[in-house]
Amino acid sequence: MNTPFIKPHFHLLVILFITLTTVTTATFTLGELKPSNELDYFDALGEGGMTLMTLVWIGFTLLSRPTGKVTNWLFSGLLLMNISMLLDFIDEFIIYPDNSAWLTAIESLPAPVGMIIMSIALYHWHREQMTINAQLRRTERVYRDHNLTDFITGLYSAKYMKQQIKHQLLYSKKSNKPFTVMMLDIRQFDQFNRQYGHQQGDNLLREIGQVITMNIRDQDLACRYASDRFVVLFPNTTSALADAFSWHIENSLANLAFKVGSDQRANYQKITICSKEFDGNQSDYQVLELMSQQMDNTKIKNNKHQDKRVA
Amino acid sequence: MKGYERYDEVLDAQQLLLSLIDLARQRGAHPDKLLKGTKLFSSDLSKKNLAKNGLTCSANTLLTVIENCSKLVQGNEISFLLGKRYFPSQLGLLGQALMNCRHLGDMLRLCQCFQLDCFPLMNLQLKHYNKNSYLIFQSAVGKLTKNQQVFITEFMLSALLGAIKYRCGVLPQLTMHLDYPEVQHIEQYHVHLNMKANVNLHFDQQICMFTIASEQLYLPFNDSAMSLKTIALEQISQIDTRPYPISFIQQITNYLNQEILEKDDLSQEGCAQHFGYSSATLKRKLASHQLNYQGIIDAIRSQQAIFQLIVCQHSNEKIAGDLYFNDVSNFRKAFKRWTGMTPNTMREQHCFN
Repeated sequence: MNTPFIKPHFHLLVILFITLTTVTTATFTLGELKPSNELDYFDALGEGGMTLMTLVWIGFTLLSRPTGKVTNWLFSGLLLMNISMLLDFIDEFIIYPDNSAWLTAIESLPAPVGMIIMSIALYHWHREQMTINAQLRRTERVYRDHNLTDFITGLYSAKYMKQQIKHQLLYSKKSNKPFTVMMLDIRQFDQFNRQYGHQQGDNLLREIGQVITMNIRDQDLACRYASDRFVVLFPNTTSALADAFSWHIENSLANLAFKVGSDQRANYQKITICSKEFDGNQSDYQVLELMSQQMDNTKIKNNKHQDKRVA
Repeated sequence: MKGYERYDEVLDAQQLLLSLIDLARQRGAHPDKLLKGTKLFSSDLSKKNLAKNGLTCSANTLLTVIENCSKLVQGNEISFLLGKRYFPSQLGLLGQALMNCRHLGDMLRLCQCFQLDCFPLMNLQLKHYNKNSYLIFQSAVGKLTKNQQVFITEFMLSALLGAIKYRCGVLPQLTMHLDYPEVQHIEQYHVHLNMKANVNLHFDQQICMFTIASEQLYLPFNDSAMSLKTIALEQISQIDTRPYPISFIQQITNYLNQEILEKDDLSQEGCAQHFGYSSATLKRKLASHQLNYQGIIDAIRSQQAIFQLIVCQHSNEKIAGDLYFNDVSNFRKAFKRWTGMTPNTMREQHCFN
């Protein structure tokens, strides 16, 4: 099951293997085994344990991280520390002849260098996590609950949106500031599914979800409603402002050239979009009912409009 | 002819069970956890086994997987997706026959005749009154848990509406009565079924029923080919040697409906004799569906009474007379026992809706 994580790190694993074998063979060829009465088993056990632990850390790092700069930094730092520990460990079993004494002198050198590299790597990791958090921000408001995410799009599900609308209603009523809910539906999604398969349909939904998140502000929240329908909450926003946002989203989705699998043809999607302003005097249940009603009306209106154009 | 029962291994597993497991797996559920309690493992459903002799499963296996699925998978989307993808691709030759039916009513009749191949878990009963047609759903495999009931009803609705939309192009005006309380995931009803609570969707009713204008039901399709339908049906009859086209519960219901209509013998012995069983065997068979004989009779009569009450809007006297009650007060008592409310209360509630 873990092989897909190991595979991209194959070159790092090769480096690890070569380094460790070189260090071991070099020390064993240069030095001679200690007589057994000179061995300090307690010391050997401690140092062996440390070597093993750093190896485990390297393993977990590779398992949980994609390839990239930060992973390389983390790997190098840990590897250098591991070399120091390994040298220290082997030292317990081997006496070096006088002309190779320099080995004992440099054995503690890789560790501090490794630690410095690790520190740099951790700094970059922190920066990376901040970026990921920023990406998450528009799909999440205040409260985190991974159970409520939608498996297909990675956005939160309708249940989370209902909770957030409930909070927003209370807040709006208290502060007298309106908020706007926007609903968005992909046109002819069924046909897309029939033509390209449901797996591709799911991919399309994920990409559309991402485009929506790119087009909204930090305080807004985008969720998947159901099937091919998305819903966005704009707090403290009038419908006039939300209309502008709708236009932005519609515009960028019209230019989303979705590719089906490895096919090179672009697949453009049309959407139906509608929004409505609320002042906090409704229930969360009514809000979504009204939105669905509005969606139906918009669809009927759009169809009439199209019929006219054809005529 | 024998009907299939809850534990008979006669359902085509590929059609429902495998699609269901696939959908759940794509949403992060482990196949072996979905199959927990069925004595099957996901390796049993592999291609190698399928190739040997088309895999079959019992209704009870399917019900167990449905229950597990409702608990394991977030979002309650699967029942709708399963239904949406059902027609016509999942139905094989029957799908081809259905595609070439003359009108929706013709399609429904075919679904009833091929219950095992089409909707093995639900009995469909069609009634007409005034200018509307009413399709009543009832479990075909005995008592269901709430999760199973909701899941199967959603699946049926999604499949039926999908088929109607596919064949008619647009969805006509429909109304739905559901016999379970309002669900949390109402958004799925909005999007997949285009139904809104208190507009054309009524929760917490005592009957599970789907309303469509009769005119719409018998509106002929322009692109159906009678000959293609006949060929498809002939091919089915050649390939399909399974002797159980409809469920045992459906057979009993049909028999009892007839007996009630003719005001004939309603005794358990008479029924057992009709099906060629001893009274004890019949009792055991019903018990395996977690049903009892009197319960079935009550269910049939209460459904009739509710239908006459909320659809035909008949008076208590008329309903009591139609159901052969000696007097109205007896009917009121029985009605209260069946539904937990008096006929008048239900009438008021329904007018209010």
